Amino acid sequence: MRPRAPHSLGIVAGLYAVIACADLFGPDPIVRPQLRQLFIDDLVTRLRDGGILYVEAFPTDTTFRLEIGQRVPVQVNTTSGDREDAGLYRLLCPPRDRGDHYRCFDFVVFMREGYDVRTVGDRVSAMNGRFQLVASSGRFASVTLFDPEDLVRRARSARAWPGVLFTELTGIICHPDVPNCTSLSDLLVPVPVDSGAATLDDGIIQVRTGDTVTVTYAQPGGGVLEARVIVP
Amino acid sequence: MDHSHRLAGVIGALLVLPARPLISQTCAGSPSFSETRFRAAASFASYAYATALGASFSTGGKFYATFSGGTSYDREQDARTYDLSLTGGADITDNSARIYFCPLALLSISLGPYDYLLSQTDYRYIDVAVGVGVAVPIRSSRFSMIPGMGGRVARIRVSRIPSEAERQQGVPQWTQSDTYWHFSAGLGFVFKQTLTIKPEFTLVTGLVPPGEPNTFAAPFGRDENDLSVGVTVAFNFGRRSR
Repeated sequence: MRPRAPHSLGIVAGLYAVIACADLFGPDPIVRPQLRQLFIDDLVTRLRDGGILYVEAFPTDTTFRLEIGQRVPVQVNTTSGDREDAGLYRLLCPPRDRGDHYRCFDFVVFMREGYDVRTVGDRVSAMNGRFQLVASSGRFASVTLFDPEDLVRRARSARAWPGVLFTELTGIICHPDVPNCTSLSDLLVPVPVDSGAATLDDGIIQVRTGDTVTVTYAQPGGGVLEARVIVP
Repeated sequence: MDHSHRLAGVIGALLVLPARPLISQTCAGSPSFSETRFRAAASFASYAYATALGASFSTGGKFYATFSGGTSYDREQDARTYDLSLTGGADITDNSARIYFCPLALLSISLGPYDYLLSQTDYRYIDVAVGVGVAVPIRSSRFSMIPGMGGRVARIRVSRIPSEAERQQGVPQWTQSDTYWHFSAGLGFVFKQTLTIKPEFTLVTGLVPPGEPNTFAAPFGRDENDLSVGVTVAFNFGRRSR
């Protein structure tokens, strides 16, 4: 008599192998690389109602690549009492060395003749985003989304908004004197800013004139990196 | 002899060389076509930058052919390709039928991604590959395990196709090509010579390093030394009359 075939054992073993492999390749959501610099990009940061704080960081290891779903944790504090946790993500996407790259958090909206981009402000907010810059003509604006992982699809869907001519992703152009001015290891997190009384852990930094905003990062080997800016 | 002529010669040789009585599909981790005439399969794979879903239909006797269609999606870039492929192959074994050697030739075409990164630019991938697989079936009356592995050398050609509007703005069309290796290792669990569940690893290697010309010439969603995992569920049907 032949032994009975171990059907269930085979199925379980097969499924277990697939699940185990998928788990093996799953990234850790929180990563703490050694950073060589943490700073606030005051060229684009707007510390006012409806504004955005842009925090950037450079890992020491330029081969560092953050995966989808991973964040590098920083904390934002204000002297008026607000405190928010934020997660640095990549400045440029995707993380692969080959192919085209774009800024992970931003896209640009161009409007048709006779339409003003400010009319789609509610839709930008509904997308968990804010305008970064609006052209004085109202014909175009750059939009920052605070959750970057679906940026391309959402930028594509924005083409269906009323009055929108087209949307496009943004890149980084290096000054000729500074070749390779960015690295795929560079990190960024935009944090929404409003004015008013502090509300802890609501994901928005409430600021008042004269506040000092401090961003801190705990280095993996000990020590803390800090960046500060004063609210004008 | 140029590259395309060499490739055609190898494919021709692979289709002509096998002289023994053959049963097929063993290296694909599935039961042979000695009992049934057809196989339908569904597959899922997770690559470094994309996920792929596919369905395939195979038929054959001494030789087999597989036609497959599917789609690959890179969520981060919201980029999708529509993939079609045709595989021809055979299983070669000695009389003991303990070890199988399986030459194969593959042609695949991926259409897309379209409007890549909102740029109004489309892409098209064409991949031609030849290779060989090895499998060692472990059988009982109703259940078999078929561990197998394979390697193939592939030539990929990626074309960038700008839209009419982009062409008028001077955006060029270009094509990049590269040759790379594709390795696989899997374990087929076969039930009653009918149902197959096969988890599999695949590896792509030998691509041009980043920073050099032709770095776009890489399989969609994959990268150098990208070890991916996938699973195929297949069903054999159309029992042969004795």
